[in-house]
Amino acid sequence: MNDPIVVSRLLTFVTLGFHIIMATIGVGLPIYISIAEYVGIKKKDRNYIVMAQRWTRGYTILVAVGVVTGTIIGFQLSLLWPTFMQQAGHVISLPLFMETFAFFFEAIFLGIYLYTWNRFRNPYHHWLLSIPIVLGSSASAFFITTVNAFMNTPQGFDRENGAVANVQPLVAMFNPATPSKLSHVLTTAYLTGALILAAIAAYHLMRGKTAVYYKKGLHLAMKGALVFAIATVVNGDISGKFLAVYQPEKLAAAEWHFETEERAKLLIGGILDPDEQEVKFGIEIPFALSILAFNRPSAEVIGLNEFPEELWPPLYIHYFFNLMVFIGMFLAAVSFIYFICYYVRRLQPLNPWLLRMVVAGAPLAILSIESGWIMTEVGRQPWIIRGMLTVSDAATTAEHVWEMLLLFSGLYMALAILLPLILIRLFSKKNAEAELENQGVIL
Amino acid sequence: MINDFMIMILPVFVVFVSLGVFFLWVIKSKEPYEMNAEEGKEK
Amino acid sequence: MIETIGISVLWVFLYGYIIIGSIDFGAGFYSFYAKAANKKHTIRAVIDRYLSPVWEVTNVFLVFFMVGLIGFFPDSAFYYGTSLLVPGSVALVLIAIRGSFYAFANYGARESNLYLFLYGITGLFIPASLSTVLTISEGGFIVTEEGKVRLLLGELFVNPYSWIVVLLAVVSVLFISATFLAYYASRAEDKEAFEVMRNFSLVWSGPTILMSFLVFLTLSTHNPDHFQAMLAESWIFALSLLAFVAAVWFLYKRKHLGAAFCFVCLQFAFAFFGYGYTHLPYILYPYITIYENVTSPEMGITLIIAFIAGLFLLVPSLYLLLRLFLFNAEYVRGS
Repeated sequence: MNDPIVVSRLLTFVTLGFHIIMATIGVGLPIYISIAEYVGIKKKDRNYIVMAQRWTRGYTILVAVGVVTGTIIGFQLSLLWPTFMQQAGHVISLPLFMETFAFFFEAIFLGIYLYTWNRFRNPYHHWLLSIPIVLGSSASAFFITTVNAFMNTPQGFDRENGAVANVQPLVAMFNPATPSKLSHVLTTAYLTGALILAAIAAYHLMRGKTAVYYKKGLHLAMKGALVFAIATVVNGDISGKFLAVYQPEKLAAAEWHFETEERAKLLIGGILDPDEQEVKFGIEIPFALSILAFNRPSAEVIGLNEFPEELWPPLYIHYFFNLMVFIGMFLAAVSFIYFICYYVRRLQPLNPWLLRMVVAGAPLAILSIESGWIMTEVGRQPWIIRGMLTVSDAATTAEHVWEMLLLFSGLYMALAILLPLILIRLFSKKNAEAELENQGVIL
Repeated sequence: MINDFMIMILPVFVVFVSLGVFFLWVIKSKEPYEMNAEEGKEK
Repeated sequence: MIETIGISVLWVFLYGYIIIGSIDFGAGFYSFYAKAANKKHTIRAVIDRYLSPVWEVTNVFLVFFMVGLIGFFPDSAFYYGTSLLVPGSVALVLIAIRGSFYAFANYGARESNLYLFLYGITGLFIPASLSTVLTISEGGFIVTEEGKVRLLLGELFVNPYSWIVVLLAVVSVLFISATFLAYYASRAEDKEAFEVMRNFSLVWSGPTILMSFLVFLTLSTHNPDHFQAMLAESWIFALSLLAFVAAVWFLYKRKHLGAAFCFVCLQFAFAFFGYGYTHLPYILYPYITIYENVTSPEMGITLIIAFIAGLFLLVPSLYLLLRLFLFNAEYVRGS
């Protein structure tokens, strides 16, 4: 426990593991708030207005915690990985800088949006204020994702005598990993946002609430869930193709694919014997890895044995990869079944079994986000910037990292306990039915 | 070539297309659970 | 050129953080004080109306400064990052407690004394811990051994200069905040709150100026070079003193309170920019200078362009925010 590299990694893991939840919800929710308000104004349906107001309130608290954890990770990158920030600062500081602008923009308009529900004569003017929130949060995600993409496929600079030269900030930003990562980050955030909202509505319906408010909320969120689940499957496939070309060792490690071969099989689950490179109990799908990698069953997929063993990512990422894909498929299936039940007469979309699956979908979606993130970050090991700087060379040499780990873990623990309590208390004290009545909706 | 297009360009379209589909679907579709939706409308 | 623009931009942001952050930090403390002293309905209403819409903006200034510093002067990430692990983490935890508990107390269902206490007390500890970074930048607390950077935490704790800077930070926060809230209360036509905040402002004005002088004195032994540079530009500090006198005069006379707050801002602007200007070329004495450690021209120019583009987006939005809340008489009065 005295190895500062291990402890630095642990502390970064704890901070980001916590922040990623807030960040994902922070990116995912605004589109639903915005569209709920728009529908509410357009159809003159107060249900949607109340929906947007309640979602905004929950969103604001999560954003507040997200600001806090985001500030922490912003600083911790320098505190724990000073050499990384020094080198990255030369090449990729532009998006970091712009991310702050985007967040600033979002924060200003969130402040205005939150306190001006009844200050405009034309309700569409208030709705317009939600657009900068959507743009700002998604732009934040874009900028920060380019930094992560850069860590995977660095470009836009030359190395001369160990120093960085000929920096091209935009080339660094728009590196090959950017499009696929960005797309995946955004649609999964929208998907997670949808499931959280759907799960809340489904939970209330399960508990015997009958107000049409919950049904409309569920329906709206499930539409998002279906559309973005499909989008996630599509760009998940694209991400596989990206890896096969630009980061083959990560794909190979995630798939326990050792020998370069054509007609490669996709492996699900299993237990690896690392010495023999043999897998027991796994499910194998013939040709699927070749199709995932290059769209052709005959395509050749590079195996791990092409790389020196000290540059292999840890092989346990296979399980995280599987978990992420499995949950993604599950979410797509649940939303698909919901709409089959809704559109096929005589099938009941609000049956308890389906509602239960929707409720389970929210924590699963977050688990999937975490697994995907672990898979991509651990899959980059041993590099912090691939081919340029290793994690162990980047870590701080300062003392007391271990104590800082305890300090921050305590903080996140307190927040993790308080945050749900606060949210539950906030929403149960002022329940939706009471608010609807206040707004003149007859239940 | 196909791969480059898929890796560099297509992902961006996926985001915009899915957003567009979602917005249109929500705005254009009939109100769900119409049986009791009427009571939600402002009188 | 790039280094000059870069450091100027950063310094402006840090100044912005000092003013906005001070108002925010002090307001938290006064809010807690009002609760403890059972004056809820006078000061707290004023403070809540100001704080609610703008609290999120405060942190961003600090993050801006940090990100900009790394962008324009990447090597500072290495030195400051390594040396500030402990003090930086403590400040971060305080900021985290403050930010989240504010949201919990404000948007959450219940008003809890514990939340308010944490919110108020962190408002004083955060500026105290952040101000140590300025102390460290004066040199003498960071050593390099075998290429490793190390902070002499013990030295920092027993150094008089370091403690004077901490005290100056705390009293400045209380002074700036009280002056602003006095002005805001008068705009809100809340007589009682105004009187309370005016008294606080006058009470803290003395310690503020006293500590400023003491900082000068202790700096003369801690970093004589910087002290000499400050003496050479002493006119700017004289202007700061003049602005201070004008502010206190208006407060004392209970008139032109907007001007009084502007003079306080000017007082800190002169002092802060005078301090920063004479600190140059060092960002971290004696390791980092703006000339030797500036980023490449390509990145520098791109950052400046991004910054200008960002301003075109932010300035109108900030204007909208201020118009709707701070300068909207109806909103300020709570109607």
